[in-house]
Amino acid sequence: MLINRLKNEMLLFDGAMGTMLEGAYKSGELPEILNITNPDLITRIHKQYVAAGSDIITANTFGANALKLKATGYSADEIIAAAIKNAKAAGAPLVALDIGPLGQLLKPAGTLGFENAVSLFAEQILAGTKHGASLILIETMSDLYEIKAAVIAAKECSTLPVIASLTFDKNLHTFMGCDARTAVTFLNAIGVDAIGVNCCQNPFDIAPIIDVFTQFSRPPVLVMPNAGLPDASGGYSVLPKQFADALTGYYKKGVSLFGGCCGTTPEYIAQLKKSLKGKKPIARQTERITAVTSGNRTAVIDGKITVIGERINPTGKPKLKEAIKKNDIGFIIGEAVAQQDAGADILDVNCGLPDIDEAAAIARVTAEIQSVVNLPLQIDSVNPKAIESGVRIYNGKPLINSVSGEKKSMASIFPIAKKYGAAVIGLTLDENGIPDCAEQRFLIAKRIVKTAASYGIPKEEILIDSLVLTASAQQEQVFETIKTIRLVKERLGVNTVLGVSNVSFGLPNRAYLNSIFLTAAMSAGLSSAIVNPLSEEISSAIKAFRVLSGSDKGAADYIAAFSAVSESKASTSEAVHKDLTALISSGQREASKTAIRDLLTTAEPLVIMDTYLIPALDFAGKQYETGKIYLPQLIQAAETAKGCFDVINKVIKTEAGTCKGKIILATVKGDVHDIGKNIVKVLLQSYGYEIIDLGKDVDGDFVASEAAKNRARLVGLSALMTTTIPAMRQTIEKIRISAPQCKVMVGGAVLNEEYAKLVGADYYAPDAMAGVKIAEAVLGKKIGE
Amino acid sequence: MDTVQTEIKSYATPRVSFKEYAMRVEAGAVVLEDGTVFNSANLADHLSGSEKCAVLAATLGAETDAAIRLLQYKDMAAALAADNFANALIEEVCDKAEAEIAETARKQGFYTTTRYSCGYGDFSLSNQPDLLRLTNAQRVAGITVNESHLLLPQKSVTAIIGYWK
Repeated sequence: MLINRLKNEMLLFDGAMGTMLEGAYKSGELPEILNITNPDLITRIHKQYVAAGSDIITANTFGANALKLKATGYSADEIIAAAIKNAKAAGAPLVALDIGPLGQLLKPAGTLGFENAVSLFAEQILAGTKHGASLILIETMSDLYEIKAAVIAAKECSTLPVIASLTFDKNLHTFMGCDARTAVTFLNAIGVDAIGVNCCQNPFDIAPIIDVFTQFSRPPVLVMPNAGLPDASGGYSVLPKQFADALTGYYKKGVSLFGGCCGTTPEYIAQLKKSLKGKKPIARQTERITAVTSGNRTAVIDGKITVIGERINPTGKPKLKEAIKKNDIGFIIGEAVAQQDAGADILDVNCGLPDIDEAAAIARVTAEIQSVVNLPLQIDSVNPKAIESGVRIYNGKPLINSVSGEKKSMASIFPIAKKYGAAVIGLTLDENGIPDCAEQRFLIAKRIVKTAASYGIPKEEILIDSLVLTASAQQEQVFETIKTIRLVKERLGVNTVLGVSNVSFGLPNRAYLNSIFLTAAMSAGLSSAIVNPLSEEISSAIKAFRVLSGSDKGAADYIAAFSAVSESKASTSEAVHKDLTALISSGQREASKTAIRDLLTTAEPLVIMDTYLIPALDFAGKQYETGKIYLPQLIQAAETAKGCFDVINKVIKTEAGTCKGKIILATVKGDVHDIGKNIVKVLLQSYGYEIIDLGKDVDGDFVASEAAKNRARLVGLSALMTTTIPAMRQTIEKIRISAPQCKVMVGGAVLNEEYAKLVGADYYAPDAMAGVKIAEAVLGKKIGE
Repeated sequence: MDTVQTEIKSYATPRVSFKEYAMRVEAGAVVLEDGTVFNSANLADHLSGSEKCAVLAATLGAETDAAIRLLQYKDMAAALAADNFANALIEEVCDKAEAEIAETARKQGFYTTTRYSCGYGDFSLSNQPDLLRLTNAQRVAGITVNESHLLLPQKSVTAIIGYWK
């Protein structure tokens, strides 16, 4: 079996096909075409590497994906069939299906959808498998998300061994900002047969990457660097002997798979073969840690009390419930950002509502949150379909919340965790419910860990939740939970987690009870807690515990957090109640809110809006239009007014609140420049309009269906590029059909009055203030108009 | 404003790739030695008299985009400032690259033109894939182009600079 050979043998890949082909094809053509137009040339090059001693020949398929091949008239299948044939004709002992990046960035950095990427890779992998490749080499990757798409495609279409290899820049991060430990943590979990580093600046500077890979990687490690970067004349600076010496150094660290990237001719491979002759792989001790990742960041669960933010869960939160139903992504992301700022390490995401498609909702919300916040996420549902949908679209290694000791639960959740590479929270309950005593709960924990192992999920991927019962109803149970934490930690050596807030359900002063219970649990050895990081009591308890347990060295974080507290409180209380207009137009957020609160004691909310807030905004708008203030100040004024609206909204109990009407905003398909649209959004919100922000790169059909669903009377579309104006026209055509009642305003750098007419818009908004005036014309200036 | 600049600078990973090509101007078009043709009268005007050119691609990297995206949820005014600062920063990166290219040209006995990007005049954005290929920009700098000819990461620039005697 090749998988065993990868584990137990030193294997040598070949060098750089691209370098060998330089000058052999017309500029603008894909070198993969040569597999068909000049097979002899390709086979001749492969033969030179076979002669140099390569065990594995990489077929000339690096860019053979449908995206890149589109203009060539060839399919991925044709090119890959020919490429593998050429490699075999050269007498290759083993042939790797070579898979490079697709050439377009995935969302959110780019516009390529995750499932599109999976399909593109699947086409290549099906072809490679069918035409006789021995293994799949995914290489020169910068984006974990793209690797995930390729590995998922491999798992779904093939049983061949998979190697995943990344390229790192000189700052030891990939182009997408991913560090080595995040990469290895992710790859360990998703399960590949070897992990690697290839390409890069030169073979020397990657030493720190190799250190991390050999320290943490469960599978074997491959190193396949460039012979330096080409100079202006195309020459490579690293000589074959230097190259071989550097890689031999990595052998000593435990690397067992080798090869070369850009600039490595057969001479380099021959030299490498000579240097590694007779050597056997060196056994490594792999460090086992519990960690989850986003696309470029790792959260290690190591006893410092990992904070899992609980706020993105609609249970008991009517505003979030509404936001999930209405697809108000801005509100949900706001919750995520606030928790990140408050010190959360991981965010829980739950979209469990009775009357929605939960699987679709959790995928959408997960994708949107990870496009802004780079914390690892915890995908939370009682529905395995929703869990799978969330972890599939997720970029990185998520935490699943949760599996229980029930056979059915384990049988449905563990395969998902294994396939997508997730850590899992295990609840200590089973078919018979939650046991009363700690010993029984411990036995369930043990069973969960053992069953996970049978799926190939090691114990460091499990966190045990010994279940918090409410002190009001089951008082005698509270300390059984704490006891279980101790048992799990001492006897199983497994990390633990608790959903703390449940303990205080039905009692007053909940935050206080929560923090005392959390403190007890932390003393018993709790590793992580699902809490509200915005709660002062909770975050204070955690910060204090980190000092007392010695993980906050020198109390540095504690001092930094609390020495500033008294100052900020002082400044709020000193706030002078200046004229509200002056406060808003000068962007003084806290002082404005205080002024509004004072006004609310004497005046009606709606009166405050019409006589104070809107005139203040109009004043700022006029100043902007006459050039007395600039856009940043206008935005500050708008955000300040928005804060005031939030204060007023809290006291208005009516259904409509202060909302003057719904407006849908979107940046059109193919375009990702959305800052202009977001500025319009802030301004419109500050005037009291409800904004449904569909985001950027939005499909025209989706805009049209949301306009119809929400019975919106106004849609705002933005586009920055001349090349995306056609998408604007198509979107408007679709809106006319689905939502004929709806007016459309357009804006963006390349638009003008004439273009706006051309695409069929009703209004052209040259700037954000114009957007407000259009909204007032269409929806009215006052509530209910 | 200062904190915004510091933040963007801390996320920016400026990367530049440029490569020289011999070239000639034909009626309304520029033809590079490797056979690449740019059909643009304005570019041809800009490069008339040049015998060589440098193709340049530069980026601030994907993390700059991410930082601006996040800032929009915290403080829109700061995000706008950050966006503008990033635009200025990528120009600065290009200025530096241009100076380096001018120096390289001078050593070969050439003067250089100013840089010319697609999107100017009739030099269409549809040339972006060629410009990225000519600079090997995806591999060297992580720059890509989507189907709407949008450069991604967003704070990226491509340009051509003529060498003349």
